[in-house]
Amino acid sequence: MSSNRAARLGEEIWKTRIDKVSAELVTLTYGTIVAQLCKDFDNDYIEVNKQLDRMGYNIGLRLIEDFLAKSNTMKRCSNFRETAEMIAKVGFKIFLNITPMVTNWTNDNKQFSLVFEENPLADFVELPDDGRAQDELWFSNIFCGVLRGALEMVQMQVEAHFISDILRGNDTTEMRVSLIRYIDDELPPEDD
Amino acid sequence: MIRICTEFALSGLLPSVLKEHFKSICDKEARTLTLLLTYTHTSHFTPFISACCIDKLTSFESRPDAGHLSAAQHQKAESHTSIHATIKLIASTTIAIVNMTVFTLIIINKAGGLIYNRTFQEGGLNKLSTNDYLVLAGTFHGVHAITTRLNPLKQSLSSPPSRSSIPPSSTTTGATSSTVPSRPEPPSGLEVLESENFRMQCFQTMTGTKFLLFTDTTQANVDLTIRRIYDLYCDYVMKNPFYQLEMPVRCDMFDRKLLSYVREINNR
Amino acid sequence: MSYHFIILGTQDNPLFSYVLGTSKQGGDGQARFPPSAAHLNQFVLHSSLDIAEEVQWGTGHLYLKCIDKFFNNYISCFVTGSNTKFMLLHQPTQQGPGVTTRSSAAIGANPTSPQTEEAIRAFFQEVYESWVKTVMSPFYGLNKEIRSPVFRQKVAAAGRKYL
Repeated sequence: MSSNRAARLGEEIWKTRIDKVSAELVTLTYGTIVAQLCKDFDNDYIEVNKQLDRMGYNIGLRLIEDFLAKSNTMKRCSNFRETAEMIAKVGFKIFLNITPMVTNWTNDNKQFSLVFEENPLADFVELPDDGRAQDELWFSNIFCGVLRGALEMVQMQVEAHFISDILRGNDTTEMRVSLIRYIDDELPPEDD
Repeated sequence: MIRICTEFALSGLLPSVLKEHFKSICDKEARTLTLLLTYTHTSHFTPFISACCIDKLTSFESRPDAGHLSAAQHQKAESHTSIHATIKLIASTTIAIVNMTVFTLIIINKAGGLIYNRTFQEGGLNKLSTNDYLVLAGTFHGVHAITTRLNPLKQSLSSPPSRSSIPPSSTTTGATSSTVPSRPEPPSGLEVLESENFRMQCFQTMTGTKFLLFTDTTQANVDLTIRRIYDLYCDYVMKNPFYQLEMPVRCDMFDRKLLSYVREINNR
Repeated sequence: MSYHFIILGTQDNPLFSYVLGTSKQGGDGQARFPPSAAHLNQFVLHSSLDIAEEVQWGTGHLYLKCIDKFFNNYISCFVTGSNTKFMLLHQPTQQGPGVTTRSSAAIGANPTSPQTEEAIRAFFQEVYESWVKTVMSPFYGLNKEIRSPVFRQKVAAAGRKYL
């Protein structure tokens, strides 16, 4: 599916088939979760990142069905570039009304970056000024888990992590997504 | 039940054998007999079966606990032909209900396990035991998997032209850089199965979950119905935080929404 | 004019403090409090709390205007819906060599003039908006000290803009 078509599709679904909620509600809810995790794990931000990723993973496993149903996807993406377009222009669009930019492809077309110009999860957020959070906490790490979980359900094993975040003082918020392999049905080995 | 009748019809078994079968069935549930009559009537071997039914009714009459069959019993007192008429009557009324109906929904997870089954129309299809549904789900899953591999012709036709532009993805993916490794569309498996009495449509989601919908053969727009059921499944099963993935579906909300949706169709 | 701005939590605990000077009419934005004022200001501001608590029920507005005067110190107050108080102490500069141009309408010359009142209202309003965003941060707890550098910058900017 071409980039434009994906964008149109995302726009249309967003307009017609999505129930909207207050952005602040989402932001505050997510913020509270992260803050509570920080508290629960004694500001062990590495662990908090892991927990967020795991929560996201569990969301992704479920969310993918909703995505497929809403987007009426009957065909799977024929390559990873198409997958990236669908994630950015349809997935993020219909669930968060944002369209991160797909960029920085590697030559083998197996790795790309999503650059978030806006991030509804991180509105109002200022990381704790304990000197470590700025270096260790990936506030929006739940996204990584969501992508990992969702793509796993459609037979793609991916790895995703943030490499920069405006909250940390970087210029952009950027997530790196790499395809590890397609999980095709493993047939029992033939006898030959 | 249908299967039994069909088998008998094909193998031309003797009424005495049938009688044994009927006895075992009818002893469990008298209602089943009525259903049986319905199905036998709709098929072309009516006279053969009805003769057996009459035989059976006779035996029922002799049973003291067969009170709930009093109507039939009463009919039995009449002539041979009037019983035939009764059978016809039962059959025709049931058919009127059966027309344009969604009978049963079965959901199979991606491992082939039965995670949901619900019958909407009493008297539409016979109820199987839970075990049989499990077997049905597992068997269908297997058959579906095999049928996806049953299309060598299409693959060999489609792959040579694409080979020039896109590298074959199966083994050498990523070996050649700078071209986009393509991922061929997976072959679809068994989609529709039809018998004289029902039509079964299978919808497989991209994640591997299968929805099997048993409907009347004349039911139209089954595709849309399944899509709508899929929507409900997404909303009320997948989004239920306490539902464990791949496990049997026990969600009241889903049940309710599904029932009201199907009832709407069935009453149309 | 010199300003001392503080935010007090619901327990009258200090959350934020910022000292600034006038930037209008060629002011350099530096506060010109006497050296002893640094801690004295805190006392003056806190002593006005009683009045603030009385006045806040009398008006239907968040902005309570100038509520108190202690020698040359004027106190303006703004109460948020959650009973956090913004208090601004403003002290007209004593006649000194640093100040040359002054008109009677200029902010700073007359602490109770409508112009000053309006300017402080605008300042409070802008700070209020930034404050709301700051307390929305998930890592900020109720009645905790506001340590956000962004908020401090915004207060400074609002000060430069209006005072």
